[in-house]
Parts: sequence; C-alpha cells; structure tokens
Amino acid sequence: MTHNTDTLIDALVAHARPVRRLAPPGRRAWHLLALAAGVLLALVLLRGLRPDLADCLATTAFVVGLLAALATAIAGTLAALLLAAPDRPRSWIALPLGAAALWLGAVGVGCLRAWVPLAPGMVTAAELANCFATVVLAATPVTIGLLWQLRRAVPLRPGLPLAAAVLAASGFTSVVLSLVHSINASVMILAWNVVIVGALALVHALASRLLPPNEPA
Amino acid sequence: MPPHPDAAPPDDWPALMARAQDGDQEAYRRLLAAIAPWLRARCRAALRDPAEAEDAMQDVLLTLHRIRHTFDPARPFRPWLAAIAHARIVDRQRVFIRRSRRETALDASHETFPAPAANHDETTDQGRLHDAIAHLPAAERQAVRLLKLEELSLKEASLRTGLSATALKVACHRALKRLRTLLDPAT
Repeated sequence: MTHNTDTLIDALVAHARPVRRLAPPGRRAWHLLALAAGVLLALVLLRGLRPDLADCLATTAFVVGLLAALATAIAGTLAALLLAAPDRPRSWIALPLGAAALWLGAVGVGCLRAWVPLAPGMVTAAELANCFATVVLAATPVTIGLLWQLRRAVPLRPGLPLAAAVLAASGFTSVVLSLVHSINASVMILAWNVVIVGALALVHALASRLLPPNEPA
Repeated sequence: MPPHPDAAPPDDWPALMARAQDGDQEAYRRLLAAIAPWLRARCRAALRDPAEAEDAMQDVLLTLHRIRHTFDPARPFRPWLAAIAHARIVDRQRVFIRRSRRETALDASHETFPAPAANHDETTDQGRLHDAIAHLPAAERQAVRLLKLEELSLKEASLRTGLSATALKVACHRALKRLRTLLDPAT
C-alpha cells in the first residue's frame, strides 16, 4: 500500500464518527407519501373540492388521468429514492414511465376534447392565478421533502433521481389540482415542477461548491 | 502486493462496515485496509496510468467515507462498493478524455527548446521584464508575481495574500496592461 493511501486511511479512520443510517428507500417513500397526503388534505380543507367532481368521476378519461397521476407520484417517489442509492440499477427509472405516459396521454386527450368547448373568456386570469397558486402550494412542500431525502442519500449520479423526483412531484400536483380545480393544467404543473426542481438543484449545487461538505449525520 | 496485516477477509466486510457506521474506528481501519488492494486492482484494470489509478482509488475511499451512512447492512456490501468505484473511475475517465482533447503530451524536444539553457537570448528579455515588473505598483507586482511567474491559481493566490480573487484579477489585468506599455512604448 502506498504511503499516501496509508495516510488517507489514517485520516478517514480518525474522522469516523458514528453516522445515522439511511432508512431503506421503501420506508422513506412512505414518509414522503404521508407528507403528500397531508398536503393534499390541507389543500382540500383550504380550497374545497371542485364542484363538478362527482360528474368528473363518472368519466373514464378523468379517472384514468387521476389514477395515472397518482401512480406517477407513488412510482416516481420510490424510483427517485431507489436511483439515489449507489448499488441500485438505473433501470428503476422505468418504474414511473408507464404511469407518466398514461397520465400525459390522458392530458393530451383532455386538451383535444377541451379545444372546442372552451370559448374565449371561459378561463379568466384570476382563475389561472388561483390555479397556479394551488400548483405552488401543492408542489413546494413535496418537492422540498423529496430533495431533502435525495440530499441525505448523496446520489453519485443525481440526474436520474432528479428526473424521477420531477415526475413524482408533477403527478402529485396534478392529483391535487384534479380534485380542487376545474382547469386541466397538467402542462403548467409539469413545467413548474421542472423549474422548481431545477432551481433548487442549482441552489444546492452552488451551495455545495461554496460551503464545505457536511459530515453525514 | 502483500495484503495489509490488519486486512479482513471479504466475508467480514459487511459486518465491519456496519460497525464502522456505529463509530468503531478499529473495524473501519480493518475494512479500509482490506478493500484498498481490491479497489486498487479495479482501478488499475480500468486506468492504465498507475498514478491515476492510485488517485482514483483514493477518490473511492473518500466517497465511501462521505456516503458511508447510505450502506444498508441488510444488503450485500460488495455491489455497493463496486458501484461507488465504478462511478469514480468513470469520472476519472471522463476527465482524462476531456483533458486529452485539449492537451498534448510533452516530448523531449518540447522540454528542451523552452529550457533557459537553449534560449540564451531570452536572458536580455528576462532582465527587461524583471525591471519592468519592479517598476509596477506593489499590488500589481504581487499579483503578476503570484499568478504569472509562480503560476498559482486565483484561489491559492487569494489565500496567500488575503485579497479577493476579483481584486487579484483586476490587479493582474492592470499590471499586464502597464507592462505592455513599459516594454513596448509604441503600443
């Protein structure tokens, strides 16, 4: 063994304080989903369910879209945490893709159907602003929770876990919006989540460069 | 290379890692001593240059230390370690490829021609340059000396002088401008 490596091992051993083990990804995913359920409940209590929910639940496209968004949220959360672990295969990224494709497909069908019935003036700026506020309120805590968990996991390749996190947060936000608002704003949701995750990841990357690395707790 | 006297057999690695997570320094030392030759072999198989391989192995050890809380004792240890090693080796290979695209290896002639002994005429220019540097204001002289003559990075020069990187950059820029005028008044 070379002298330098011996010295490095001595230094690492000298700094080997006890660390708090990361819980398995499945358990952490449940914690995040519990947080998401809490946010959903709070927003439903705050804003109330959409008035036409019963009618919507009678349509197949709405139910398929809602369930696919929910599945995207659950599978995306689990995939993000699995992908952050060094020894899990990258193929876990496929986990939320099927549900996400179904969800976005349902969004596309919804857009085509709404194209004709939506007359100019039906969606007001105030309604859109209200809708955007709900997107922000729903996405922010869940995204921060997801990124916090990813930060603890210190992924060696953060790209795929972040992509799965975007899908998870977007799916969850879409579920909230489908239950609370009458506007189908899935594209806005996806764009917002890409922006917020990208911005937070950038802030974290800059902070990691500027601040000394933390010892794991 | 003979194994380290403290090295542990591979079957003991997961248990040693779990104990290391609990702060057992002796277990950690035995583990690191045991995995070092295994990691070195992997790094040497992937990176031809032995020095580069040694650096890569040390990177792996540092990364292992930083993310040691992510090891789950219920799962096998070797794939976890191999994944860290793989990531760090790939990083090294990427850096190597990037560097080799913009750098050319020096051969004997490259080193001979710029050598002062092969360029006696430069001594006059050097003398003029040193005279010109001596006439610079103190802050600019210091910036040129550290950044251009001693070839320190901005960060190192900043640490040595206590000045900010921006201040050093500005001083160096002004110094070069002034030197151009001093050495060639026609410009």
